[in-house]
Amino acid sequence: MTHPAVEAVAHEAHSHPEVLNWIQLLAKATEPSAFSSFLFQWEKVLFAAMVILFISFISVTLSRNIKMVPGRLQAFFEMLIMGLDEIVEGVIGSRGRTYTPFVGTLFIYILVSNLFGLIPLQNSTMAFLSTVAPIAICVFLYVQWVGITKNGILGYLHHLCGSPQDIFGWLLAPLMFPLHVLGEFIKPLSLSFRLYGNIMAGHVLLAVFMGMGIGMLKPFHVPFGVPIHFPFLFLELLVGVIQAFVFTLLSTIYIAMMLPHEEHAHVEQHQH
Amino acid sequence: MDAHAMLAIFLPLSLGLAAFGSALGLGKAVAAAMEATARQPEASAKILVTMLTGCAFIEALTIYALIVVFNLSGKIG
Repeated sequence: MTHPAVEAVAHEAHSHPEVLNWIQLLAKATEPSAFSSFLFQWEKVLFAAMVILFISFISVTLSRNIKMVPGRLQAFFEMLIMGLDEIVEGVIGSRGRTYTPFVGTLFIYILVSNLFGLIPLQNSTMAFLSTVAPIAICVFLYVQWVGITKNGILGYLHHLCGSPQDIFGWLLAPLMFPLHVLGEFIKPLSLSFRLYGNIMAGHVLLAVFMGMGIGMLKPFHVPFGVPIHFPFLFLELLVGVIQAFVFTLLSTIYIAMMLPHEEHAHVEQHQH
Repeated sequence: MDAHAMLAIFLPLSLGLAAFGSALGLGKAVAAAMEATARQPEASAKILVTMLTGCAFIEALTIYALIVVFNLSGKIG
């Protein structure tokens, strides 16, 4: 029994070199069954669910017993959260605290799933466009929502016209409006492509070097290869952290750009 | 020349072109950041963060080319 969706997934997987993860291995081992096709179809969702469960478990166990004098683990997480808060406040300004929970959630989720992808037999959820695009769409919708609620509908439209102040600004508004609307739609596209492309390219790089390492020892008929992909694991570690940070920082900047302009001027004064 | 041969020639070439531009941009960015750090070592953390963000922007262009190459490489046959 071959499900058409399974064939589509298998075909998609063959377009570039890929290391099999444990869900795919399990699905291959139990091939002709409903369970196997379920695993093939829900692979990405299962990985995302694992990451989310992991983060939820850590945060629930940590926030159950918060002490005034923090232990080692609590101090570490407090430092992480404070660092995030500082970055967001540095970009948006003193009122940026409101946006830290959303932006921080993005950062933690992306970072943990990127690092999860480097564990052997695991795959990062961020290596699929179908799981990265929804996050970027969330950012897009949130930015529009912030723009509408903080500026009002008219202020939001005024912002999309390029915030014209004088007669020349209003003359240019018909030109600026489509440009700004297009720009809003391009933002989630570039966000998702940047993250997905970086992580996917990293996994393909690892897979290619693993294949080369196995190929080097092929004449000796041994069941292992030379681990020449090893140095690239550290590169992927770096890329995973940087891309999570960049995604977060860009989302923060998009929010800051949407906020009313008085606040913006205040931020610039504050920074100089 | 058929479409397969054209793809086989120009896909790697397009990636190389994109990487060429990215390399120039990255070189400039890193050089400027190093100069700034040498002039003002106490601002190195701020410069590093800004540089990394800029580098991610520059690199993204090559990554776009890479995505296109991967998507089309299945058609080489």
